[in-house]
Amino acid sequence: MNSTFLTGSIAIGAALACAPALADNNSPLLIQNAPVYTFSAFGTIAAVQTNTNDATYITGNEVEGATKHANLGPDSKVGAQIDAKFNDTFSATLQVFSKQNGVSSYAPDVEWAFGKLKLGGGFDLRLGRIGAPFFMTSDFRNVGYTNLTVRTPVDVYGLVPVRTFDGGDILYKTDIGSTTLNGQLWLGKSSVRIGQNAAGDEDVGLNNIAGINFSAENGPLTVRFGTMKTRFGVSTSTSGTGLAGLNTLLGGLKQLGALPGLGELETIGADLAVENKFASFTGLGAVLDTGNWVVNAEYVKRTTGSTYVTNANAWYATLGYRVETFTPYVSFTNRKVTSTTGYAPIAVPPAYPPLVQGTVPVLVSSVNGALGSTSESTSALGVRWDAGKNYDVKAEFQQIRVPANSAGTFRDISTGNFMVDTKVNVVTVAVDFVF
Amino acid sequence: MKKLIKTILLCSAIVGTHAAFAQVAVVVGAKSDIGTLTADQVSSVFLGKSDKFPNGTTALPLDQSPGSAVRGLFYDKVTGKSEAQVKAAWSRLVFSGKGTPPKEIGSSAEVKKLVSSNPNTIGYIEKSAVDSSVKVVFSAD
Repeated sequence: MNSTFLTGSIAIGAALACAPALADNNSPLLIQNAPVYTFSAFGTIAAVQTNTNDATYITGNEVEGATKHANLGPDSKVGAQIDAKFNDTFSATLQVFSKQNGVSSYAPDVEWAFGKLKLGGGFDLRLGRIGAPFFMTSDFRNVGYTNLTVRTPVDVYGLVPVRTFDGGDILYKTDIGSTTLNGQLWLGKSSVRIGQNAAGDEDVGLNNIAGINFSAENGPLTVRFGTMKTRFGVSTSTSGTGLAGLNTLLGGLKQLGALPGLGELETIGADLAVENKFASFTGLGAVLDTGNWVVNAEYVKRTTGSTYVTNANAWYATLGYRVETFTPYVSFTNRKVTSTTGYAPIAVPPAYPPLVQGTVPVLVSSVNGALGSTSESTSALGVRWDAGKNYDVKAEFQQIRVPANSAGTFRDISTGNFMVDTKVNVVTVAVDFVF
Repeated sequence: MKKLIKTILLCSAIVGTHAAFAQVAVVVGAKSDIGTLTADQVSSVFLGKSDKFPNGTTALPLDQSPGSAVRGLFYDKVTGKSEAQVKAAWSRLVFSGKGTPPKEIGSSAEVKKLVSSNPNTIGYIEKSAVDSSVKVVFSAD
């Protein structure tokens, strides 16, 4: 994990800083004069299979997922990181990460690229591209080796597909008695790739992000609270085309909504639009790691000003027990969508011609198609085996219950399916490594 | 009676030798200002929860080789965690850009050399390897 910077990493290292003096492995290097570079990497290779071909199991916004045919897409990923410590107060981190994204590509992203300055008195300042701290385990949510379960619970972590932000944060750390307190203020912007249209990639931007996080750690117990707000909307980097399908729909709603007696359509359109809308996200979590027991739990709540991105709350609770190198666990998760997921038919005044009479129901059903619930709950039974000094092997059986008329977190649902309460079984086998 | 005492002495000598072999001493340089530490304070430094000694000076922990007996014993007795747990804990810090794990040193002799030359360093060695170049700040059976 901490093999000191070697020649193989020069390419990335060169991007980081000018003319690095390589750390001399034989010297004590503990009193620093020259910059010290550390190279680390992590990854997961995982196969997922379900017991249905009626829907595709995904873990985020990726395209290729699992059905009755096992798939490596939902969980496989790899990342590499270089940390450069220039002196006692200034350091920098670069992380490159690859996982299947919203356009079915594994092209690596510059996940992090930030400089960190120690301000003294327990304060640190970071500037650049930084891990977005929405959740308790945001920073290392993709490092399977650091997590007990095969993946961070999709019901909870899938609510925010944003992994990084561009901006800055101030970190504060202090000890009060035997309790360590951490505080964080973060400000910046971000974007997430959600699909493609004829004009190019479709991104949703998160602007004016402002968030705070607090955590307290005392011995085996850590408690964490975080809240943030943002203005989100279709990114202008897509030449204004944005969510092409949605924009066509919004245009139709606006046009017909302007007619007397059909104002409700305009309201529906305004609520649906993804344009400079307010959103907030709040989470409360705790970890207890004592003796052979490990317990994790987190509750989160998403609130947005667009019906297209639902309001939802979600939680998970995981309990594991270590037996030598094996840690069997059980995990329960739940997501509940609390905002509108569909509109009732709208009565059209009889005076309107057949074209309007026919178009209004089509518009409403298109809106309902664009909305839809993602509520679901899961129960999982799994085991982590610390098989070697820097890798683990995990296996998990999971049953996902998708209530009637919800799509859960699945995609490509065959017509007519998931209309009733449905259970889907998911089996995952994973190998995680760090070095 | 004499024979019995002799036997008891011999037995305790054997037990004593065994205990010495299975003991870990957490050490700093002989001239260091650091006094006695608690297991929690040592754990904090070696698990990356703190990069300072209780007196506020910078703490640079030194690890021994992965898989070595003294390393397994140290983490088990002092932090109460397995090496896999320790690895996972450090991975959380590394992959959140918050720290780099302790440097790995090949032998107790080298650990002694480093701690006696740099007052910020702290290491662990077999208790039997303790000599005048180092100061024991914590020891565990």
